[in-house]
Amino acid sequence: MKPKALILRGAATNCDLETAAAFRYCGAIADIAHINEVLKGIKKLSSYDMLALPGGFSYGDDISAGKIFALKIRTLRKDFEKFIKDEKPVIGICNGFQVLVKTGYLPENREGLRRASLFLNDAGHFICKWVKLKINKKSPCVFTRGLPDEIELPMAHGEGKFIAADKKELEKIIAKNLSPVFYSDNPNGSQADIAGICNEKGNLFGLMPHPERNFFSLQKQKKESKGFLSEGYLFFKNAVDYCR
Amino acid sequence: MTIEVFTKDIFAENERKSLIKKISHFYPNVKDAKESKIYIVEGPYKKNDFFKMGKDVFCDFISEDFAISSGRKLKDFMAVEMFFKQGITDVLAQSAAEALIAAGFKKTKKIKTGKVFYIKGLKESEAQNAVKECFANELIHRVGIR
Amino acid sequence: MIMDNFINAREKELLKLSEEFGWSLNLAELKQAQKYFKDLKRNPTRAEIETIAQTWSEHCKHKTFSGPVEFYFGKKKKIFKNLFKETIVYVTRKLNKKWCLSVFKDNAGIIEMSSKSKWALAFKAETHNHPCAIAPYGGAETGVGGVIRDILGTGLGAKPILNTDNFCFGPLQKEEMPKGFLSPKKIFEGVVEGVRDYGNRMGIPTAAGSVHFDESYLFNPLVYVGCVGLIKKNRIFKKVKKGNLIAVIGGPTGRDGIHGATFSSADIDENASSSAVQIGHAVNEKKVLDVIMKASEKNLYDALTDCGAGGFSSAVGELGAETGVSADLSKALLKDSSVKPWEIWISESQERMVLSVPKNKIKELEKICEIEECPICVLGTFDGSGKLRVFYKKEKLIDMDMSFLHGGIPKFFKKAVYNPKTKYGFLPKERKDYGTELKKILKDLNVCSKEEIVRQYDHEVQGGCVVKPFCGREGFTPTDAAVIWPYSFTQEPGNFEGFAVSHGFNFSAGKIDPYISAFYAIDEAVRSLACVGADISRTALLDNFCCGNPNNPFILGDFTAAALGCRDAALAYKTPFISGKDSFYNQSKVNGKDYSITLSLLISAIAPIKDVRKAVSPEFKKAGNPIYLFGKIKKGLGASVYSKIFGLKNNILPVPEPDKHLKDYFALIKAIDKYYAVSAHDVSKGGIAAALTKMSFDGLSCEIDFKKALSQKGISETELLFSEGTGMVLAEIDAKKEKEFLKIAKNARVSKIGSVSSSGKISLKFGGKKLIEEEVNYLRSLWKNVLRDKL
Repeated sequence: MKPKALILRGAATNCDLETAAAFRYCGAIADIAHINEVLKGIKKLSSYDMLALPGGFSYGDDISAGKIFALKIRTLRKDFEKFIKDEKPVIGICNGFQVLVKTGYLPENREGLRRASLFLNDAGHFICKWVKLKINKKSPCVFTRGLPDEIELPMAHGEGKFIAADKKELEKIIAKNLSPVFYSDNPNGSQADIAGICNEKGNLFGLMPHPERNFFSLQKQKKESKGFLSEGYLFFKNAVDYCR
Repeated sequence: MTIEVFTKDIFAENERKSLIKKISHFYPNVKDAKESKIYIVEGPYKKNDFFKMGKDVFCDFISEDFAISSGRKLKDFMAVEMFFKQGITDVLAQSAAEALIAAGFKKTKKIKTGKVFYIKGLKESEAQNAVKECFANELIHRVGIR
Repeated sequence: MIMDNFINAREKELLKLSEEFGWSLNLAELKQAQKYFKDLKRNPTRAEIETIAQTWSEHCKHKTFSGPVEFYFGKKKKIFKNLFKETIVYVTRKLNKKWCLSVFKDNAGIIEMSSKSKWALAFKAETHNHPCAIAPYGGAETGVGGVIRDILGTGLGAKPILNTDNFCFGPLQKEEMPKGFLSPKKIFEGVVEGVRDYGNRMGIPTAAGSVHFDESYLFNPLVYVGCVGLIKKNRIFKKVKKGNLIAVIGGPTGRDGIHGATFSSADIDENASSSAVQIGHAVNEKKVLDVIMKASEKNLYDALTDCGAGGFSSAVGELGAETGVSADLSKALLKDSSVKPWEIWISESQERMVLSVPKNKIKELEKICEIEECPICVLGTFDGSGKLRVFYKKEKLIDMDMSFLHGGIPKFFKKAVYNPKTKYGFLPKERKDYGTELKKILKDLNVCSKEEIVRQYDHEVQGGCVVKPFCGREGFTPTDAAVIWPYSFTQEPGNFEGFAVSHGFNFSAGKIDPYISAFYAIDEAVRSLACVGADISRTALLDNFCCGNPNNPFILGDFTAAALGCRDAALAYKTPFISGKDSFYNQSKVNGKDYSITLSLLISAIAPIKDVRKAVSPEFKKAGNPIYLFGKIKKGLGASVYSKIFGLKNNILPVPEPDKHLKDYFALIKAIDKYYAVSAHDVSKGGIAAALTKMSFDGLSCEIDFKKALSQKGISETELLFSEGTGMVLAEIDAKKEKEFLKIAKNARVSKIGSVSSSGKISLKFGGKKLIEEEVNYLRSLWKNVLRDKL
């Protein structure tokens, strides 16, 4: 049986097609659905094994990035929380990460409160460039298993500066290795160079850079022949393997 | 009711620097500058509802704070407001309305959005001009001292 | 409102009316309209006259370019009945390429990806100059939004997969401006932010473009925006069926942009009205895009088009031109209730598309719209009457014949005069060293890094940007063309077919010789495509002309010369035009004096690539590899950055040799295809010295001896280093494949000029004389930070 991934989008979610392509390439069935189809019960969260919140500018990122999409998801809290609790893999990429943070699902806490934010880059505007990332091998994260010490991925965001609610929260993330990826050369001013965080079980993961955009070697900015698949492939392969 | 959202001082350093840089181009004696977003919401809501809108919808309370009032003033700062002129589509208001619905506030009659710039070190007319020169387009924006 | 004295009005009164209401109709057109209503024995309604003004506007009908022209060239005179057909269209007809699937009739031109592929590419570029001059942010946003809708409305709906942008601004240091004009810096920032915020929100990579600075754009900036779409070959034709519903999807209608289309036929002045400014909302357009993609898959409509200039009047009118239209505007969704019926009809509110939907499919379309939160309304039917009949509830607003509206526009001759300029060719004295010159050139606004802009655009979204605006380990090296692999939309990661897009633009050459400048633009575009390894035998072009008031014979003379240049150059390069646009009246009155832009011709080029994995980027790859020059270095520093910076009186343009260039380019793409050429870069602004410097930015540099370069006899050192001209490409060849390379380059003009080095210095010499020796890292830092420091 092929594991099934739901690629959940809202208005102005943009990276749904390439995220679906990534899951499909790794052997999963990937369905793309609008949040309204889930809210209306046309598509059911429970019939999927994996969930991805792709990149984009959901609802224009008006008010703040990912906020309106997060408010919509919060109206189906129970279903989403069950999905996470069942230890099914959930990944939020870029805008998807912003949504996971704005819903309060990341950083994980029992009360479902907001414990962090993703704030305007230090540069004050959107930046699109390739960044090097250090992989935290001690992290429980399902998606980053077996990745090399350092990888590179493109980032493309305006609001990606990670800020924890307080010092305690930040210390917890570091101490429990809940940050699977760190920037080698911090591009946006994130606290502790954090590029992404996960929950303690490792099934829920959000990050700002885009693994689906460094899935094939030919997507790299340095043109060199180094095999067909690239570092980003492993993120999706890990999730699909985990479900098998 | 006016809900005003602004960055917490500890995170506002970059925002201030960039505002000052822009303004100092025209008025080198500018001392300090801040910026707020404004949402004016009309509807049959109670004060507590507006407070909840600020907290749950418009304000990112990790990095931002908000005030419910139309007359927030900061000592030594000129407050200059900027709104779309009548007849110009306020696109942010459309999104704000959608957000309120998702958060359960379904009786909104009208929303208007705008910005307030707080500027220190300039006279009233200078502050107003600075906003016109640096941030507004007078074809579509209305700029005035609060 | 009835124009109650229209049919009996005198000429003066007609002109007064036109000015008062902002129709931009000339006397001949007014009289034609008057005659039509005289024959009907009634006065027109406001809505009818507004519809005529919109439909006949320069923006919608391009009446200058497709009108008759008397061209005086020196002592010769030539008559063109339809300049457009005899230049641009002529090329396409004459070349008659089978892979051109749809040209000049739809919103965009369409070419096939390959004969085997089921996919085709739609490409369109337009300008949004006047709005950007008065409201840079909003103007740029709605410009991008408009061209994306053009692609969405091509055939039965293409998926936008690449945005392009080309800007021309006044020099950034200029800050004090006359009343009513924004400073170049403010325009620059607004336009960049507008393109950024709209393009990024739409999820379309903005990955190809250019920025140019010149005094002549001080009051009239140019903002070109383009879009490429992907469409299935079997969905490129549309036909409205009689009886279908007129469905409108997207945002509500307000008073935005009333008289925006007619505005493009008028000079900018201080009294520009604010209702001509439209406000864009990218999210609404993304909703429209998503609805169209879903509805297209389910085949829910048989024709569609975008609401652009002229709003419903153009969109509904165009779709119903053959069947006729019966519409009730009271059904339209409005932003506020104060919008008058005639305003609904011509409003240019953004993010709306008109679809022709069979009655039995409207329910399903409405369902999709509900999920996607996209408003939809039905205005009426394409009723088969051959007439345009528009109501507001019971009130009849418009009752006109389609044939009059679309065929009635009067034509009249315009005079064009072109006199060649006197040539002069001063040269600077020889110097000991040219490092200072190179540094100045690298720091010039027209040469320096545009990273500050490019990095604000998401060029990686959709995952298919193979050759990016910047390539190399650290992304330091600017590239010549964008290469796109559309696997995410096709969901075919095993299919490596893609395409490349590039531009050619040379306003400096346009100032000297508009005819030759067309060769420069087309050559640059084709050459850039060759540098990434695209199949240039399938290059298709877009022409975008911008100039001043065409009623000035000298301005129209430059324009006509450039159009003829386009004809001859495109024939020589065997590259058909598939679409294009022209923008006149790029001029302003400042303190009573007319300022007009220089003739500006943007050529956008697109060509398929059989295997995107083979595409190359310009940065040097391996120390020891030989470096070859394709083409010949020629005398003449006309239109060069060097002449401009150093105030050199030299307007000699190196003569283009299209046939020879083309042979060189074919040898180059063959060398890339066989993996012999591992990097390639075109020689453009700043000449060979600047091109070699940029190729060295990624860590490996070069040692060059110009003595070995193929060059014109008696050429000066300055020209060797900094001459621009046409046809030159620098390529790095795999040392192990050099022999094989020389075999395939037998018929091309190639000369080995040096090799890749790991010294960290670029070293350029002529025999025993050192010309330039500089640290690359230092040069890069000079080049990289110019824009950032200016903003």
